[in-house]
Amino acid sequence: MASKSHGEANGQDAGGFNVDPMHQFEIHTIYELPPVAGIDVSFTNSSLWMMIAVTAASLLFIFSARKPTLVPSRFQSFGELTYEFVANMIRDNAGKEGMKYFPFVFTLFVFVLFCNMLGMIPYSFTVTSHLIVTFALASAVFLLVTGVGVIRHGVGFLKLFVPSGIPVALLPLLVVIELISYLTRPVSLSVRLFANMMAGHTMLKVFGGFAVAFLSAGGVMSAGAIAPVAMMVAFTGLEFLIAFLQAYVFTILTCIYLNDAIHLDH
Amino acid sequence: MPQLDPASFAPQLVWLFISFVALYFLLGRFALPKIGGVIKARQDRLDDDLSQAETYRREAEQAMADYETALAEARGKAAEIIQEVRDATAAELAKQEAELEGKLSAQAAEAEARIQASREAALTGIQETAEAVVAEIVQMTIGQDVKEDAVKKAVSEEMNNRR
Repeated sequence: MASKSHGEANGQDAGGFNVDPMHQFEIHTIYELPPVAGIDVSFTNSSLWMMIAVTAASLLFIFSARKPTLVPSRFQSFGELTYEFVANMIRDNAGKEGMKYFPFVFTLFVFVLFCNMLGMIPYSFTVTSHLIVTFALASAVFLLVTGVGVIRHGVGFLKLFVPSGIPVALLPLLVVIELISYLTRPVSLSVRLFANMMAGHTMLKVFGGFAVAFLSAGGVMSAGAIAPVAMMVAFTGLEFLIAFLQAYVFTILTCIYLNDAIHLDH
Repeated sequence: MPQLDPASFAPQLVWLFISFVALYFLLGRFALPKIGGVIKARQDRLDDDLSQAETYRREAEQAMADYETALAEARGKAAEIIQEVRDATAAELAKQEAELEGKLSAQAAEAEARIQASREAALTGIQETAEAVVAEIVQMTIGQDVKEDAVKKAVSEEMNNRR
């Protein structure tokens, strides 16, 4: 891939230290695969971390469901708490009918959460820091929600764009606004997650760069590295919070969209 | 910005699809039904236990009510028995009292009769003695005998007057 050599050169340029904050987002091909139907399907670092997320999540949840007991063990309660957490999110926001889509919503939450959290490991890769990935996830949500709406209500689904109790004169304007807000959902959903993940990781890297710069200055200047390191420690805690929070936000918005499609109410 | 490199889109999308679908099936097939089943089983068990506890509570309440009824019944019966015994005792007492009274009054009557008889006897003795004394006194006073009948009559008259 073109970006590979380019990024590494950039990193090397910065005096032997890898202080380019965007370097961590680069995609490297790990194993080149022959294109399938003209599409590049190479196994990259992104693919690797997706696979790690899938493996970790599957093992964790499958293991937590092994030998279940009435009084849950620690692993079992991890699985059950997550299950109940997502189930309650759906029930509270989309009602009982929303539980039909529980496996999808649960997978979505777990996938985003694990990708975000694994991204916090030093030298790892954050899958969700790529707009194309979050946009694909958001589009899947958008397609599912639209599909659910159309299948459940047919043409009546269009009522979603017509707010009730509005003067007729205002209707055309509001319908357009509603339509635009509906169509931009995948954009806002994906950009929110992507931007949060990218910004946090970039910031950490920038502070890391400051610390390295201070240290390489040597002498008294080295003591100055304390400030950016302290910031990094604080922001790392915050980043863990954001990693969870963004997974939660992504999921809860999915539930809210599902609710719109199921109940058509405003 | 590496995120905007279109060459990286295709492999990411392909592997995202593969991994997401894999996770969906792994979780949906092997984890979620089990976890959901355990949660449901626990909920059922809780509901069961709660309803059973409710049944037991109702049974205990019923037992308590039964006990109260039995207690009240026993109390009533005890009071009845006490009343019966009291009545029987009172009747017996009254009977015995009456018997004793009868006996006593009979004895009293007998004693009275005896007193009367001895009084009569005494009185008769006194009259005879009085007649003799009167006849003697008269004889000594006037020196002649009086008729026995007259003396008898006078004495009995006098005694009747004094009685």
